[in-house]
Amino acid sequence: MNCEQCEEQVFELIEREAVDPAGVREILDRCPNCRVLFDEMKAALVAVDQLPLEDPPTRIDADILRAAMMRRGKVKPIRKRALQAPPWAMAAVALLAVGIGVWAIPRDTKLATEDEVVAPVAESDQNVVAAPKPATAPAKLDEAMSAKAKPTSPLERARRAEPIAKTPVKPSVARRERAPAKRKARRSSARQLEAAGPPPTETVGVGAEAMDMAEAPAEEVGAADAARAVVSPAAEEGAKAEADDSELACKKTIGSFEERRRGDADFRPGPEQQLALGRCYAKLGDEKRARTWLERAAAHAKTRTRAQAALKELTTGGAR
Amino acid sequence: MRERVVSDPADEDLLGAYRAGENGAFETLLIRYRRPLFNFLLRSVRDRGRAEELYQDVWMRVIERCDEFRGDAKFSTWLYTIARNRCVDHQRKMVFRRHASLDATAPGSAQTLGERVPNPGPSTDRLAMRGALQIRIAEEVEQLPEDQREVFLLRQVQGLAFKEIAEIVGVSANTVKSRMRYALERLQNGLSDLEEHVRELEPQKHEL
Repeated sequence: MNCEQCEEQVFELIEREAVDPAGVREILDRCPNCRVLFDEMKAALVAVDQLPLEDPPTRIDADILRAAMMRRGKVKPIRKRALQAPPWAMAAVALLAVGIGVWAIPRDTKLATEDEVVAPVAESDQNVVAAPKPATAPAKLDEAMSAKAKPTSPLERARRAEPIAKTPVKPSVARRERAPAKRKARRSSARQLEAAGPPPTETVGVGAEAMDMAEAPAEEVGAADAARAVVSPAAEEGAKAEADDSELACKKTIGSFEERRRGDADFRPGPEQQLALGRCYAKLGDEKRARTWLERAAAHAKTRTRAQAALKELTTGGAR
Repeated sequence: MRERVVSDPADEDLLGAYRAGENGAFETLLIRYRRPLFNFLLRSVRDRGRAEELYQDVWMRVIERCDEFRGDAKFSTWLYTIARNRCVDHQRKMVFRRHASLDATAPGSAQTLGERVPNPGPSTDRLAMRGALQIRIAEEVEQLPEDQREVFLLRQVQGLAFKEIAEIVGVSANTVKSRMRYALERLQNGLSDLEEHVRELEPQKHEL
């Protein structure tokens, strides 16, 4: 133990002396300075040990005891901590609930919504109409159509057409729709399919130019009546006349396709046309052909979901 | 300083029992700490009347706040922390309070204020009981600097460990030891003229 340590532990040494006097003496014998400090501190402690200790007045003690006895055990209010979760936890639970709710929405419903949204425009384009219009989106589309009934230039028409094309649920579809090459190809094939059908009239604002406006929904569904046949319960339950119109449209679609094929043996319909044909055949009760075309459509990423849904519907309908 | 028997219940247990409604536990605590606490306060504020007020106040705070005692420190540490804080508050008040000079004569009177007020010094009983040496030691202790005095009193009157004193005072244990050493050196110097009396007292103490 050096002097510094001795100085720090002088009180411990004084206490230790009572139990180990030889050990303490040995330490202090090494350094006279440490011994001086030790003796001084020890003497001072002896001196101050005579410090008088006084007692507090007993009346004060009595008062204190009385106050202590009067104190009632404080019953802490029960905190409903379990029910009072922190705000972040509440927010997390709310988000989780919303997430589960979104996840729990049936896929079929979603598909039906998409198809219902785009159907009316396709109908107006093809002048086939007759599907019952869903409450919200179609009304907006009608307004858009009427407001833009007289486009002044192709550019303006294209600009006006875009919002309508975006109206369907999937923005990715709308983006794809803007690709000019694909648009051209689809337009030509749609014209081929519709060659046999009634020509679009000016009254509904369609024709060669109006194709741009109806293109997106047409691409989305191909044959709106087929969509109604597959997913729209309102069409099934609707007026018989509407159903007849729908079947008529399907017959025309199939007729134009077969005619086209007779003229060109190598003609291969695109995915949307395959889907439309599948739906039309399903509508007309030709399950075998419907399945063939729908399976072909299901092979394409673009129409896979809808084709699979139609196939499912076909299977379900067949089972019934 | 009263030696505690090992089998005595711990202070913390007594406080817990009191909180549970056992008033006798509080009485035990009061008996255990009344004398050292009062003397700590008395030597700190150097005024018996003030010391009595503070003594009562400290115990009242213990009663009021005993539910807040969490047991992560010793009861003695908690008690003396309250006492020390009360002393610090008192010292602050005294610093800002203006006192009339005891040496100044009052208007219309030949006597100084100090001559007219009752003698605040030790009573006759006290002098007779403990003797001049004890009074002198007490005076020397009261003249210690504040930081040294509180350490000295906590160590000497209550017998707290340096570590515990460090917690109460809010400095390191080594600082506490240094303050204790300085306090003893100062007391030793102040009482040097009484060394013979001290030596005379020493054997008597051992005989006891």
